[in-house]
Amino acid sequence: MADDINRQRVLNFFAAYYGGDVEAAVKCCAEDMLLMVYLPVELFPHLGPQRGRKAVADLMAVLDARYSQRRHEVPFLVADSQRAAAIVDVTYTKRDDGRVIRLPSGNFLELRGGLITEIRCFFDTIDWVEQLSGRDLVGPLLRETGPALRPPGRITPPLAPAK
Amino acid sequence: MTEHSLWRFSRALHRAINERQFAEIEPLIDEDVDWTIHGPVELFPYFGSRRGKAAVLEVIRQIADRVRVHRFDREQIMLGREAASSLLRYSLTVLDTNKPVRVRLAHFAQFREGRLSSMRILIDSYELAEQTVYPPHMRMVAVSA
Repeated sequence: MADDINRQRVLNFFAAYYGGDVEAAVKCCAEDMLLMVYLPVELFPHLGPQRGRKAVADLMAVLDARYSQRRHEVPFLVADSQRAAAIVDVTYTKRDDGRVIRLPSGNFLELRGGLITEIRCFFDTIDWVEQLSGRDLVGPLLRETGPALRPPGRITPPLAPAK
Repeated sequence: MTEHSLWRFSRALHRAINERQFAEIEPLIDEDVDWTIHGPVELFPYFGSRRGKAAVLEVIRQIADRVRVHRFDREQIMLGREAASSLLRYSLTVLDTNKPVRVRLAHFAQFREGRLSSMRILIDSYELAEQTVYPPHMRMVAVSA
């Protein structure tokens, strides 16, 4: 029963968060909630662990400023009386160039007294950086080094430089 | 109380990777399993999506050809009736270079009658690439995003 209620609470939060309803989103969160986005700090120095409902509101303001449309699907969600884990597949449309970005995110949440006390968001970081920056990170690497983590004893030469 | 399918699968997976013993994991994978490791497939060819037991076993073999697991810590864990998720911190050794690698990943698994029917893995691919492939002069700089 508590599992079903928390499951719905988490779905409500995602709907408010990705729907741009700041008031509804922060109402789902505890005052001292922890928001942790796992992205490389050297690339995203403004992100990292943050506390409080304002952190959620601030992040939503950033999303609203940069993306004209946000859609989300939740293909995986499991919840119990205290925690939940979910995959959220998000589609953003960038305001400045109309580019569409599709990103899966892994989310781990903790709940207490009907409110979210902790959200940890996890991503495939190269995909995230490539899509946000519009830069190809993998191509130059492949040309210089070839595929990573080769089996022992097998030497794969780097790909020829692009002409 | 029955043991959760995740624990059986996790033990068998690590045995397959570290000892190349695949007999234990083979019956724990559904014939129609959906499997995805999100990440750059051009850099890590065993990433990407696979369908079916044979294809997934081949991916596990390819991973076993390349790394050994030293330890892993579950930073977050969520168990459902036939589902499980973890946020994990792995310490690995790359067999080709003998280099230690530390990487964080999240998995989202679904089971059917005790067998893995779906697995999605998100990996901090930047952290992995930085430790395994990026030459120092190609390290990335901050992006305003």
